[in-house]
Amino acid sequence: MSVPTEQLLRRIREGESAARQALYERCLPLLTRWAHGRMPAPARDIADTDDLVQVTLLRALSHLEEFQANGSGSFLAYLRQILLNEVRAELRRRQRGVTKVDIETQVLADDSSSVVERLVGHERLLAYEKALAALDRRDQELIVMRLEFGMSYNEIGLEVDAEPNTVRMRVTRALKVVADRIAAHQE
Amino acid sequence: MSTVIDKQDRDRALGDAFRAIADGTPLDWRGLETTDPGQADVLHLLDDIANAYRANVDAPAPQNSDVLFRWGGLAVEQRLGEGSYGEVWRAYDPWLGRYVALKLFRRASSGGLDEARRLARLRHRSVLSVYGCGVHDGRTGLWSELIEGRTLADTVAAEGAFSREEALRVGRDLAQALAVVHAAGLVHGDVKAENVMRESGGRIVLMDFGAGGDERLFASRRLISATPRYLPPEVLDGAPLGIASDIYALGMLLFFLLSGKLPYSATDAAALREQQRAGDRLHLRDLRPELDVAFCSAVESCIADDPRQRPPSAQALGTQLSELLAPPAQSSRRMSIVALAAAGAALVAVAALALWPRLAPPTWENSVRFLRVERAGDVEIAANSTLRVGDRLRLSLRSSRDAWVYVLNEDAAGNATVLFPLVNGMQNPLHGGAALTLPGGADSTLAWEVTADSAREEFVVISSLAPLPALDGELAAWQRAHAADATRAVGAIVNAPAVQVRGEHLRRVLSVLDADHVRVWKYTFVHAD
Repeated sequence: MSVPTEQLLRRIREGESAARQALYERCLPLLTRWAHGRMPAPARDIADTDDLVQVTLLRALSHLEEFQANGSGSFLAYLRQILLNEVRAELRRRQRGVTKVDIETQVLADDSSSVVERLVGHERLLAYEKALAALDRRDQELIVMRLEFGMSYNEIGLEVDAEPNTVRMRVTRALKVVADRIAAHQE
Repeated sequence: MSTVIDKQDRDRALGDAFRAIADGTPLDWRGLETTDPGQADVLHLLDDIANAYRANVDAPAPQNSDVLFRWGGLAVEQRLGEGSYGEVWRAYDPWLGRYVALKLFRRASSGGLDEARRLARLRHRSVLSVYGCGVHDGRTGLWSELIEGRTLADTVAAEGAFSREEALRVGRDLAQALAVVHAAGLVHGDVKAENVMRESGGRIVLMDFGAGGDERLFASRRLISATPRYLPPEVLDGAPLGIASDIYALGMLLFFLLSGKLPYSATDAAALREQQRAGDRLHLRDLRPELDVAFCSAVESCIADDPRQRPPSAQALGTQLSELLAPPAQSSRRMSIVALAAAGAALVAVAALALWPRLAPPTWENSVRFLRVERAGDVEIAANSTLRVGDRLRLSLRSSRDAWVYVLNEDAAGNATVLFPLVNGMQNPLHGGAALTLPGGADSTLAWEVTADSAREEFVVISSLAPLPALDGELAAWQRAHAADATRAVGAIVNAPAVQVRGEHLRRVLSVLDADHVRVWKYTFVHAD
């Protein structure tokens, strides 16, 4: 990852198709990994998840004006939000479809939960999501890129135009802010 | 008198913790939970979030040749153990991308599955995380996180009884875990050393909810499958398992961790109930005499025969144990009414008693005696008797006339406390005539407890035939003792030369007592070593 996303986006807007492909290749693995953690169990089939990510990404790249209209900020965080909306829509579709439960074959854990939700717990994940949503955009992006996408400080540095050490410091500070928010909600 | 956690240390520890989460490196949870238990929960959440996303790429799948059989989507590799309910296997969950513990029950049953689903929504670092539950191929199973470590029963067998701090940590973590379980409307039902794991790294995990269930269901089912030795009298008499019985079992577990023994020797229910009725049991204070009274008292209160005498909730117990674990801070002083000396196990306290006969009406007779609370009743503390940290003291005061009485205390660090009158309780003036017991009266359980907070403590007892507004004004800025219920003790009181009060606050108080209808007694307690 040597060219910042911001630069690729500018080149895409200028009509450079190679830039579009480069951005697609950059975002796809990050979003795919993220989606595998957040898709509800009934939709956890790997092919389904990959399809969802690919389609979402292609559509987002085709409608960059929506991203611009949404204000600046990280394109990755923008994509994460679109995917999260897709996941929730998928969940609603699944819930509407449930009419009968066969106890012999049904996996009886809460099937609507994702891997991350299963590991972290529904209420706790909700508390995190709420606190994250209340942060300013810059802090949100830093946390999403580091914790959720697992990007290195170098990679984040390219996105936000900062040195890795500075990124580390900012991520740490953002974590402190989100922790305070979570604690405030819990009181 | 105390070690107050330095704010800079706390901020530094928190900064390190956030950096570790950002970097994806291990955290010093033990230190953090001691210095800042409030933030520890939130940090655990952020760490779990980071680890959950990380798990999606780090998971190594097993080789097909290692798979013994498949149950649902799980690849089962190795049998880990067997119990009355069935078998526990090590299995790989490809969806979660990690190894799990799979508990397969002996026969298929839909009973309890709803409960397991609720358990699957519970998340606390000291509660085993249940990932799912289902029926496949005619077998009911439940899969959960896989804990690498050993049970507390095995730990005690291998390493002996726990230290005070170790046991407190375990107690605090389990009390907090039970609080979460109870808040979800569940009871555990079988808290015991065999059902708690200590993970390598120190994390304490409460497992095996096999005997537990919905609290309301238990009220009707009266289903008992827990281990008899951890069951309280009311449950052996037929009452359902509930919050109070979970707290009782946790008390038993703490007793076991601290002593390697359970209070009752009987193993079958009938003999156990007989021993409970007869009070034929071991006491923690006899097995671990060096333990502080507050901790002993907390454990003993959990295993009180009467459930009403136990802590009202697991949350309350957790808070109590957290306070005992934390380094004594200024605020903790208010919990025990009096803090006396000493760091050593065998505290020797030297009390010097000097009566200051000030000018007083000849018809006014006054006497003061310090008493030690013992099982058989209050016993006067004679010269050269022994005191220890944990002693509970009272004051017997006899005044022939109504009197305004004050008991004041100051420690070596200059912390001054009004020990009497209490904020809530007997108030001045006290009626003359019969002997009075302070701080709460003869029928009260209140006493001043000897704790190990300071190198020297000074006491002043003031009795006056008239109100002392100048004194009241002086005391307005002092901290007030609050009632605390504690227990036991041992050390030494010996005669010493006439006391010279050194505490600045007490000296100032004494300086305002210029009335001729006042008597003052002064005491100093210092530890010899």
